[in-house]
Amino acid sequence: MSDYFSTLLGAIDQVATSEQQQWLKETLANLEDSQDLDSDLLLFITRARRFVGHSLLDSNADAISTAVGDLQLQSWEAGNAARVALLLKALLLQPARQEAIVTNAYRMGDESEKTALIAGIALYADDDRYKGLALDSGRTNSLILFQALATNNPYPPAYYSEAEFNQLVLKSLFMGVNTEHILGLTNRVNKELSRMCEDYYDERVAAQRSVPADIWLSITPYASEHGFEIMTKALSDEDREHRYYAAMAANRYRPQSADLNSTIKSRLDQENDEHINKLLSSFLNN
Amino acid sequence: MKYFDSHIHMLARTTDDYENMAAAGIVGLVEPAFWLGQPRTQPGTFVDYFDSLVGWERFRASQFGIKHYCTIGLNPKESNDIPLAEAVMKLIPRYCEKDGVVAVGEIGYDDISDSEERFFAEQLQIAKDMNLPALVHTPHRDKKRGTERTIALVREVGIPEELVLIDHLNEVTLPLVLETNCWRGHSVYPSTKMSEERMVALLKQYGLEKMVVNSAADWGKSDPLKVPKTGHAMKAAGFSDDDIEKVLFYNPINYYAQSGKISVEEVAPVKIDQTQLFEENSVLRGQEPVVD
Repeated sequence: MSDYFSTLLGAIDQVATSEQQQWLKETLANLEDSQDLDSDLLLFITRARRFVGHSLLDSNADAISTAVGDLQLQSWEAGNAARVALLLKALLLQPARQEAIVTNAYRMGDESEKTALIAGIALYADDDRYKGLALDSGRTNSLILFQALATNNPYPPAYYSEAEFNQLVLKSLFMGVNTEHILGLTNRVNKELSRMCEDYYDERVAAQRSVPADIWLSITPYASEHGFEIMTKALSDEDREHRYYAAMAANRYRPQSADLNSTIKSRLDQENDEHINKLLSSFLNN
Repeated sequence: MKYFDSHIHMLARTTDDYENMAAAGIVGLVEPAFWLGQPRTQPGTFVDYFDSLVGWERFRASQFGIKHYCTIGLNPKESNDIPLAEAVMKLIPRYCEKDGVVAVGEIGYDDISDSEERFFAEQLQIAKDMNLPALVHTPHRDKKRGTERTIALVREVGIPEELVLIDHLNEVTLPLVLETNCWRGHSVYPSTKMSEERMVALLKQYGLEKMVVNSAADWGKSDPLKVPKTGHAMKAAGFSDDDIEKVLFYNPINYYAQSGKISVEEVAPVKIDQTQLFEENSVLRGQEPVVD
């Protein structure tokens, strides 16, 4: 954890002003001297975004290699990264009270504070002891909090049960969060998830509502006959996004089907989009 | 034409909504206990919330001529915080005894987790033991499977199906409930759930028996006038005034009347008297009080 802490501080320093860096340095020192770590930590987490700012961490910042997978930092604001750094510092100061500190910081946090802590959960959780907090954050209606949990986060695919992971994916589709950014989707997709997504597709069509285009990433791998039929149709959808994700799904999961092969061959003659064509060609060439 | 909204969260709505609802012909409503938008963390906040449903909100509705009833229950989302849920479960039987509490609800599944199922089953049991209706929310996600499991759980607990209203149904889930004796609830929303036109299509296809329509208006993008608007859509589609009142007034009241705490006769427009106070609080902010 101290390695994660150092890497995070380094990433913050790359984009923070000297004043912002100074604030963080002094605040970390205040945490070391604190007589009431829980209260001070909450206060400092609340202040961090205002005093360390909203600059995004460098797009070239190294991913942090955690016990559950790589954590990319590029979409993090410096102030939110500082929040996670403060939490890591507190945990390093009182390792015997880690669970109490994490639980309190999460429970007492507002939406943006929770979002920062959940985005960084892989940095302080190398087992499933905080799965309850992750699941709790997933019950939110807050788009930013849900995105922090669901996307670019190695924790859920590492520790969620099949049912929990499936609900995460389905809720992402429901909330319009792009499932392409759910880490581990390719490995964790399963028959039940495909079934749930087919049902969701049918429900949306019955209600004459649009269907999220990335649904094909979850339907395709274990598609029923009906699922296969609608996925194949999606390859010719007038909506470019549907064609793109259907082609991506076909290329990723390579369902074995003579019909699919011939559909894709004929699509190649008609498809104008360069990215989709690449996917279709890749499918046929492998 | 008079209307009754069987499911609407007035705590999240303004007095403009009450005025507009009354003007549109809504004479009564049921406000189910539900999720406030973010999780409660203490049992005490449930106590205060339940008290407001049977207290201040009932008074506030009366100040605009509307009879307010409620249901009491632990909603599915908050069933996943088990220590909190266990504490709240101890509150429910007493609140369900109160006047104007016409059902246990809204209960059901959200993520379809084990803990949701546990507290859903326990509340169905409370409803069964107290001979109260149970208002059931079907999940927004994996809806068909959630509805199937709901029906299975209702049968497993053994509560009479006539006491159960399965709500938020749509084209895919209504046929499942039609195979039971449960009541069939539908929520009409501006952009999600059902629309007036689709509701009319279902009524034409499946008939009016035990069919209930509500606005389920809450803190999100919703419309507390969807019940009268559905009435207008039914009229335009050729339904008679009797048919419209059957679905949008008599059906919901008759469903909740199984509690013994509401009746068609009782649901008449309330005489407005805005000089009244609730625990020394008034709805007025400088206006002249309206007195019928």
